[in-house]
Amino acid sequence: MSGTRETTGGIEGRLRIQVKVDAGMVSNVQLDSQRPVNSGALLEGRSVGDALDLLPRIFSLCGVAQTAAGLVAVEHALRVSLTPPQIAARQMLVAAEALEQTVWRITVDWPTCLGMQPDVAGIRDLRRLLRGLGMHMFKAIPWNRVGGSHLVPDPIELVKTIDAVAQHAAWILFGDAAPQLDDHRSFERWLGRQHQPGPAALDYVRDQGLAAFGNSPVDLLPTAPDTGFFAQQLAKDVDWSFCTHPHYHGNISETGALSRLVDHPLVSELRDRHGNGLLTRLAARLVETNHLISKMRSCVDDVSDDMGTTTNNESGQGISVIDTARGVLVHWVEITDNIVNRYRILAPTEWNFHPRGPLIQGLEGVNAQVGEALDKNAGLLINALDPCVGYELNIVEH
Amino acid sequence: MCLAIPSKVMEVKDDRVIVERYGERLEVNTGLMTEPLTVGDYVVLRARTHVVAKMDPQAAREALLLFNELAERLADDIEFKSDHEAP
Repeated sequence: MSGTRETTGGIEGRLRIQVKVDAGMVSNVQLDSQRPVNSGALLEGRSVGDALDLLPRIFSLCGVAQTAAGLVAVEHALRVSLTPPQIAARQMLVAAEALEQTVWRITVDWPTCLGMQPDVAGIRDLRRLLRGLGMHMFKAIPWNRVGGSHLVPDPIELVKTIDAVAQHAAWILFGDAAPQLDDHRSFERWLGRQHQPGPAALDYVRDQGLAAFGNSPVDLLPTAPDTGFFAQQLAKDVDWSFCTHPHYHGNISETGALSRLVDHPLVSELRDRHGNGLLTRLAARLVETNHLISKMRSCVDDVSDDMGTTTNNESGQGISVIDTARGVLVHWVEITDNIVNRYRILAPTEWNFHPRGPLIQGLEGVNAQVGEALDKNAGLLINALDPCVGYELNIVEH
Repeated sequence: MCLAIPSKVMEVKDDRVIVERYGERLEVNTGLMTEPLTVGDYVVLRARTHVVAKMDPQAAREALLLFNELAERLADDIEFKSDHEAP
């Protein structure tokens, strides 16, 4: 049997999620992912430079993270040591993109789920501010050179830009009532007092008794996973099966804000009370906005004039593991005589939307009658787990 | 991992446009754009809901060739998997 996908929706792929409800309970959840996990094949047979040029052109949502992951994997393969300023510059850009994506989820997708007006203008202005960061660091854009690009940072402009980003993000997320998201008591005091469209989802979750909705026993990926394990699995992933249904040492796992912030005082306390339910997950996303801005600030101190490094090596295997808004992004590459022989990309969506992953296990068995409507609640859970493609949710009542 | 597939603007409404790609039509939000869009422009979408960037026509043509290649590889991959499936 062979198959072609008739529409671009097919090339891009979608998640089709079918939820069956029996006697008021979710009895079964089926997930069909049509995502093209073999997009790394587009890079194979090309020169390393051409392949790296293609990455930001292939991916529209996370082009910076994909580019950085590609560079690090290639540098690992060719045994290039990156200087600390180059590492910091890339980390700042990756954090900036993650901030944009996270704020987008909160201010556009969460309200849309609940039938509220999203703040599209707010995210448009945030994108405009974030665009300045690269220009204040690199002598020329693009910056996707193996070994690093020519850095001539302007720390004053960088700090001004990050200040403006922080101020704007705080406004569109919290209005004039920015909370201390440090502990449960201050979080509870803040809940219900603000009216920005994104965080209003947290009010909905608390008021409708959905704090523990979607709790699942799925393991969280560690913050510093075993890259050797990924390299071993991806090197032998001839049929893309590991990229399609990944596991971590045999265990189905979850990645994203919750797994990164599991030790944060507020997230930890919410998890003790509600497990990995909606309130914990959405709060982790909010907390992460502050962490990403702090990450950007910390990078400023480490960025300085630097020409980058070079290499004479032309062959090798390499891997990179990068934190993105949606979770861990893994690239693996095999290079022979400066040509990309094999390339594998393992994206966060494949962890969180695994057929036995946190979405499925979180929905199975839940009370379908809690809250206003199951489609809203399930939609929030899907958005909390943050797929990088669109989805169709179909609820069938028996 | 949302793919940057070029979509052609077919119709412009207030804060939305109708775009077409590979024969599929979508109505999407343009609130993120700071520059006006006109019929015939190529744009990139986020998750089939919002326009996130305008592309120059040459870059769009090159990208379409790339995604055509991906579509072919997808078909080959389905065939590959099918050939290796247990009976």
